[in-house]
Amino acid sequence: MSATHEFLDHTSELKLRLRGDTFEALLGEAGRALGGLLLAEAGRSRSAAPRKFEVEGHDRATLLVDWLNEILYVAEVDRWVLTGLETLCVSGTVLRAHAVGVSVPVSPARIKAATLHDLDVKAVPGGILAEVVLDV
Amino acid sequence: MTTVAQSYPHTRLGDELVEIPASARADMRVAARVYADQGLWEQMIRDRTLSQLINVATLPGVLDPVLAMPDAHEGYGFPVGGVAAFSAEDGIISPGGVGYDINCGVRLLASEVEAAALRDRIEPLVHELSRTVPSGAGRSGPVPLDGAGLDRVLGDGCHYLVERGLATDDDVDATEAGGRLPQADPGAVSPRAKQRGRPQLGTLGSGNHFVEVQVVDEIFDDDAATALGLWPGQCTILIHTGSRGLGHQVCTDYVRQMDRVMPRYGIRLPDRELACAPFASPEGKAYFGAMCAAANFAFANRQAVTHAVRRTFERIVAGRSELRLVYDVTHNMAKLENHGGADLVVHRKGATRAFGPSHPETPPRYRAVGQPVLIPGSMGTASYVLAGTDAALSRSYGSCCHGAGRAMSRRAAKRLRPGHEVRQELADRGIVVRCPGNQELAEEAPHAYKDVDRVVEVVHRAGLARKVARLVPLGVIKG
Repeated sequence: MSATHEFLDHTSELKLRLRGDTFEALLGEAGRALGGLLLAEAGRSRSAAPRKFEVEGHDRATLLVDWLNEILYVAEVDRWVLTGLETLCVSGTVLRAHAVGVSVPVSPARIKAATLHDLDVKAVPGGILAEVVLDV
Repeated sequence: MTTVAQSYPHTRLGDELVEIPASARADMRVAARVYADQGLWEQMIRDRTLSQLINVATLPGVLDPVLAMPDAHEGYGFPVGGVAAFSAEDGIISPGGVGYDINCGVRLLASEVEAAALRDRIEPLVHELSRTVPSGAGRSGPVPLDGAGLDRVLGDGCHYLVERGLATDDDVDATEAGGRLPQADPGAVSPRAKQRGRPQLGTLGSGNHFVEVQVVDEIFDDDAATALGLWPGQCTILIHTGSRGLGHQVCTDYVRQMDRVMPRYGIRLPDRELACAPFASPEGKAYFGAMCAAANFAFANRQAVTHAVRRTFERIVAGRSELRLVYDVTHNMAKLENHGGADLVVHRKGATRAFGPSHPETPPRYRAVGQPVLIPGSMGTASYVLAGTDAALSRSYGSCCHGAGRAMSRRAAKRLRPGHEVRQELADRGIVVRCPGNQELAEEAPHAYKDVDRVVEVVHRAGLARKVARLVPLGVIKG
């Protein structure tokens, strides 16, 4: 599975474009991209135990947003930032993942939420493309 | 920056007002009006401000017209700077129309000392404020709360802080809605939201939140300035923050919930972030109760920050001055208001309430001049104090702009000028800055925002609020 991401310009927020050869690959890339942003904000980190995630959306698009919001919630409340994934699978609209991450001294708070604005998850030649706007 | 030129049929109704007719797009229910001079209009058509405003004009129960203030720019769902009113009887309420930072707002504190007399103490004052007001990424606050205490904050806002000795009755009187929305329902706030909010009372947060030490640079209206207790050369402090993680989670929870239930109400939207439900529905009532509770948290948060600022100011200025709260205004809210005898749910997303002298919700102490309206500029530029007008009620549901408004993306701002240059430029101008890093400084640099003087001039000339005073920065603590 392979995936890529890039951040696009938005006047006031941050737009994340994701490509994956599968939806699972795209979700994994989304998690790592957001984790990278959070870690850059937090600065220092130390090792922490892996953790399990289970997230349920009501369609593919909301599953992507709910996954990102779960990562934000855990980062703020537990000061645990996702840095990688051991496994990630999707069954219907439920995501289950074993993630690795780090503990950070302060809760990242720059990204407020993943939004449904202009949310688009669609099949393209070679895989899946998605764009999601993060409220900064 | 992504440039998306927008072209819709429109008519300029005056030097400060443009109308996009309801016929401009097939799904519009009402017209859209944009308060902007030609220069600001040309900035707005570069991104998606207008298409987002037109999306708002499609919502069920929306009243004619929807509005964009002169600081408006592309956001998510509503444009930032968007105002729309809905019938409380058969209209909707939209969490995305309020935003994630519920009751993000600004409050102005006025000292009794001349800024010139503090010249050698501005740097230590800013330094100490940066230590005593937790800012930046998720730092815990100075007001510990147990579950019951948090529920009191959610239900009673600033009134609970009066009981805790962190606020005075005068503070409450000088806060929009008296610092407490009575419709708050702490029970409608999720455990997750409460978990996020509990350690954050009295914290500044990230992004464009700040505490700024200022001097009153110019008075435009002597009588109004006297009524507000402002005078040339006076040292003031402006505080900008909101409901922190608690508000973010309330919005996240209810956008998700409403996205699910809209089909039940036959609502179809051009943008899912506008997710909404009838105001009178169970989901609408639950969100309104939770939003009001988050708003009360934000009022209390700004009050708790005020308490820390006062103690620091007293220590650095050796007890020479009190810091009187001039006023506290909200930005991101849906408020139940009576306009012309009708109960309306007025959504202001990145917009400020601006009630005139005769409105019953204008505090008695300001009935001669109108509600104070606080317009922060970008870091390093002027901020303004204005007074609401009675005319604004019919023109903008008693609303006006909330700031300068972003002119470019954060990435573009960083590309244009790196943070260390911004820091040096501010230092060269004698502005003391405390900011977590150069990246944040570059993203919030003055060049990333529109010209606040021009934005305020449009508001003034359009009669939405009138200029009272201009404040310029001496020191800034960025979140």
